[in-house]
Amino acid sequence: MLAVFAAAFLYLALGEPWEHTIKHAHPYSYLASDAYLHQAMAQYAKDSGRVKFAAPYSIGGYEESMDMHPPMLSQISASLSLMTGIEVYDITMFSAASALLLAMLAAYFIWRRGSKAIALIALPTMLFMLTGRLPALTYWGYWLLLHGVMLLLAFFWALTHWEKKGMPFVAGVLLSAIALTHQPEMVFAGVFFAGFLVLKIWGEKSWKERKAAIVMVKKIAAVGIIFGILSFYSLLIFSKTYLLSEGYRNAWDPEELRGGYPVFNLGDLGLFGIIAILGVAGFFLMKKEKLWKPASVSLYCFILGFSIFFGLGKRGYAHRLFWFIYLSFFFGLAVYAALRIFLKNIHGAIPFGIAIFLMVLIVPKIYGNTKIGPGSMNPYDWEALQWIGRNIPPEGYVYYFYSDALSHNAPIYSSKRIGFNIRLQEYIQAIQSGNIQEKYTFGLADGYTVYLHPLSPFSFCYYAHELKPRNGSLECLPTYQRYIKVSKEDEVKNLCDISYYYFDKQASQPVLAQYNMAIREVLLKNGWIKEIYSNPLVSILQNEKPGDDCVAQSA
Amino acid sequence: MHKALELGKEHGKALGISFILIFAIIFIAFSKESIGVVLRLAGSMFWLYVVPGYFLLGIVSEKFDHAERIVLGTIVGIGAYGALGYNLGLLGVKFSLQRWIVPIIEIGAGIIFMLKRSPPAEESPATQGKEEQ
Repeated sequence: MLAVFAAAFLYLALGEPWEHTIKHAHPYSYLASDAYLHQAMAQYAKDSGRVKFAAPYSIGGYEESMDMHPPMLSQISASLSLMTGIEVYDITMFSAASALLLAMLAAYFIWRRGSKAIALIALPTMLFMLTGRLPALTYWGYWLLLHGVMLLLAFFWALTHWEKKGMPFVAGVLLSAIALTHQPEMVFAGVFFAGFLVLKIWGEKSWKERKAAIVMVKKIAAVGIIFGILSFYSLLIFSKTYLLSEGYRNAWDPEELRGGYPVFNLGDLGLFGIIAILGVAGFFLMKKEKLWKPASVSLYCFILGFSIFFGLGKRGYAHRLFWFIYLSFFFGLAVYAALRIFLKNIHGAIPFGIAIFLMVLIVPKIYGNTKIGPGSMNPYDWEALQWIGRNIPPEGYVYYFYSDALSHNAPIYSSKRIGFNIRLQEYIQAIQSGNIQEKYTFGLADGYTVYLHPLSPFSFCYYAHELKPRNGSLECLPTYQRYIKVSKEDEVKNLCDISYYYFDKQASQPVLAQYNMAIREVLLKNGWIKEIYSNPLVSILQNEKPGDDCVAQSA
Repeated sequence: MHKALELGKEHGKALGISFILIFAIIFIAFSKESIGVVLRLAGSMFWLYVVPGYFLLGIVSEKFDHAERIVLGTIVGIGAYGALGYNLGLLGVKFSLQRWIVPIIEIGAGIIFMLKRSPPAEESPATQGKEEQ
């Protein structure tokens, strides 16, 4: 049953959008900026052989600035890409879909601690994770979260086996891994673990025997020591970066607190939700001790989605997107309890049959909806980005005029060069003016908010400027403060001062591409500005005399 | 030595079957991909995460059934590879070496614990299929 479920999930979640191939010529089925960011980070890790520093081209050109993102995704994607020879952008998304699958299977095994029948009935309903707005988790790039939830559920599974010798070691490894993957889940795991220990200590009847106390202390110490060793450095970086720039979100505005996640409320659970609520009621009525472990995990995870009421914002909201997994236990319990009304002895084949029936019912509802195709990237822009990385010198800045595929910053990191992206609003105003302007407004393509530089393994300073100063000075401050933004001089760029221009010849809004081409034509009238790369969509120009008047003469 | 052979026989079969299943699941989803690519992907996942995690769960005194051990072992394997590999990377060990030594360390640790454990771990109710239905 597990193999059938896994095959069905992978077929629908990734096989369909990827048109049943693994290797692609460019990032495939990528729908949002985060996905490009993660693959670019993993690519840099692969290129540099380890996860430590951020890619210089994603942080304004600094060579040695600690990667403030949790390292796990880059670590596993880069390694797997190196082993398989498959491109990082394919492997990273594959890893994310696999993480979601493994999270579901981990939940299944937690539910099975209560009852195999309930777990079997619950399993197919987890496929609802591929309905509505939820596939965004995979295609928009919420990949740290997906891996975090997978490890969180595995950690809870380990706690359901806490009494087994050796399990604290496994729990320690998993808790460390969560810390290296997505810190909000580490906090949620820590809170649950603390509550779990309090209840264990409270409920232990043999405290009078010294041995029981010693065993408990040893187990907690094992988790603490492993966690301390494996996650110390990553958490040190976290404490000096994200914790300072973000920390407690204190988000209360209903729109803002979602932080870009798709809307998901109780009503979106539909009939599944109603049945699950009946399951919750059934659980409290049945009072079966064996069901407590899975039920407490299920309820705790479900409640995480309401932690928005404590100001946790998107970190809590994110867990609403997993309610179909978390509440599947109570769905299974409700169906199981209903069966018990009619049948005194439930044969093992019955839950199995129900699981198959539910699969047959749910799969056709999903089939076809995940065929999203190539996504926001196309082979021409991708090839041009790769060409830039191979042919433009590392110190060369590239200025991107409007491109559908590169309208966000993160795809530009794949050029492995510092990029400036045209500001759309100002560009539209320029189009409306009907003239080629002398100056255009750009934004530095970067994705980090803290540039942490190591002075020694345990002491750090913060680079002061968002863009590395061209005079080579590296102003590094002892304490964190938001860096000094790119100067107006760099952002409002004189067209003739640019060295490398990137134009798309077509766009979803034709007027944007037409204006791109008009600027290109004006520039090419100057003998010192040449086209150095071209394909059916992209044209890249090089200005050999930056600073020389290039508009007045040709206008 | 005899104990090691017994262990190899017992777990080799389970791992062999799980490799075939993982290969089949990937191949069903990506049926238009070449067998070589699917084989390499399944094999790499197996080496980096599945086998090390499977053996790491040998540290636990519970004898899990094979499906549970493969699934949760894989997650533990991913977590352990990521955590250990990252820290080795900070010390200057590159992926080119990490991908070989981290799984060997994990598998080695699991095997040592499994060999040390005597008498054999008791079977869990889950293993016996005695769970409430």
